[in-house]
Amino acid sequence: MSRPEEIAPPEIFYNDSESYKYTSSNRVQHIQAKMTLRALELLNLDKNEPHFLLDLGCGSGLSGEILTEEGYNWLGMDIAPSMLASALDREVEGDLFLADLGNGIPFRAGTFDAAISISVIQWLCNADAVGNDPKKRLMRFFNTLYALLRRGGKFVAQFYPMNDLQTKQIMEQAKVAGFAGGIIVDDPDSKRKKKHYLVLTAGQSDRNLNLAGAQMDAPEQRKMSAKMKKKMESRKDYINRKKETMRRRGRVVALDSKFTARKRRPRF
Amino acid sequence: MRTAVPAVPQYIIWRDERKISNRNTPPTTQTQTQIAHKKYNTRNMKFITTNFVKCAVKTCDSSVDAFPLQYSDCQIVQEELEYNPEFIVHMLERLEWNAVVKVARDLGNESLPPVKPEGLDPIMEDDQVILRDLHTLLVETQIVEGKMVCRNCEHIYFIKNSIPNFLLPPHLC
Ligand SMILES: C[S@@+](CC[C@H](N)C(=O)[O-])C[C@H]1O[C@@H](n2cnc3c(N)ncnc32)[C@H](O)[C@@H]1O
Ligand SMILES: [Zn+2]
Repeated sequence: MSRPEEIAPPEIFYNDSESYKYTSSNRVQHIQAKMTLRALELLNLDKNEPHFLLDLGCGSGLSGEILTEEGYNWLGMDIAPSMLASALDREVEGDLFLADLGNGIPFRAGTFDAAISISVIQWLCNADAVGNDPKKRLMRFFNTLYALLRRGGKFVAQFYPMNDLQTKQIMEQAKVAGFAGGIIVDDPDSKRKKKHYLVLTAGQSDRNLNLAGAQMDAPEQRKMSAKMKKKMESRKDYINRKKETMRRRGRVVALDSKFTARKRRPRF
Repeated sequence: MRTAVPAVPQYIIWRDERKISNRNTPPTTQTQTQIAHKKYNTRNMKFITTNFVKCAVKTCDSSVDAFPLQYSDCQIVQEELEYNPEFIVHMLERLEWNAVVKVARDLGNESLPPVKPEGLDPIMEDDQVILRDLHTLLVETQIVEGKMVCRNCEHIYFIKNSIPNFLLPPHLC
């Protein structure tokens, strides 16, 4: 079977019928959801804080829907009008932009807390138009991505490298743009389930990427300190505790709304 | 410190009393000429996004005129969306208020306060009025159709069917 990138440029490959086939497939939905959740796990964002995320190559919003369910606000970009049209039809929550990632991502510095990209960036290694230089496009992509993330912002991208050379090319350009990080391979021994995740940080972060499970020698599980426990409490507990403190100080706090740390629909 | 902010809703660009929350009952009349009513619950470009997006042309990267873009011929809708005061406060800090005022003016509202409200707390009752107004302005006010022009290179970006188009012609790539 040949790879989609070798068949046609993305905006042509993902036409109305392919977009429909892709989006309505249970199998695809399930895999994209699983990889998005894995990307979020690697990002390791603080659940007690709101976050504004960027979904690069958002397609029809399968990855974005997971972001919404996990409580994130997001904005998605894609080059294929048909995919974006399905995203509109499916009433996703994020703003949608029509754009080519290889031409850069047009946001001012420090806009986003983090970014994800699910099954997309291998496309950038392809020269599908005359005069397209993959190296230049990757460079523009990573440079603009680095700038639009807040300092310490993180980027996780699941992708399907064609070969080691591609992986190397991607890593190299990310590094030149200023990112630190590397590649995580899940299920490396299964040809079918094997997945590559590019995990990058833009500057020093006060919360590291979650690389548990990726390290060979995982540190021992230590007993939870009070500080850790505080971190682990649910969002709702956290808001209520904050409100209680304010009440005790005699301040008037907002009534709990039906949306207060509302629980999202569970997946699967 | 809190900036003195009037308690009256000042942040509303268009007050639409019949925000669309049900796709099956399209409203029949318009309160103001600029407000369009949506037939579907599809998302559009939220006002807050105008505070982040800039010209995509590489040679405009370092130009101060590439942000904010200039908005014209815009069709606006207001859509009721979940109120999330924590998100508003989170984003407020990174907003460039001058650009908020500038774009609001492009869209026909001259009355935004010139200074960014500060020190708002999502859990305090006193702050809810302003936070709700900011929610209406930043999240519920959306652009369905329109034009965005870069003040530096004058490239025109179109917003069509709810989606801003940032594809560049070959000579600008
Ligand atoms: C396999 S789909 C993944 C979509 C979505 N992330 C998901 O998880 O369902 C790959 C997407 O990448 C998009 N894509 C490919 N090259 C792109 C480029 N240069 N700029 C923007 N999007 C691109 C395609 O249009 C397509 O929607
Ligand atoms: Zn420009």
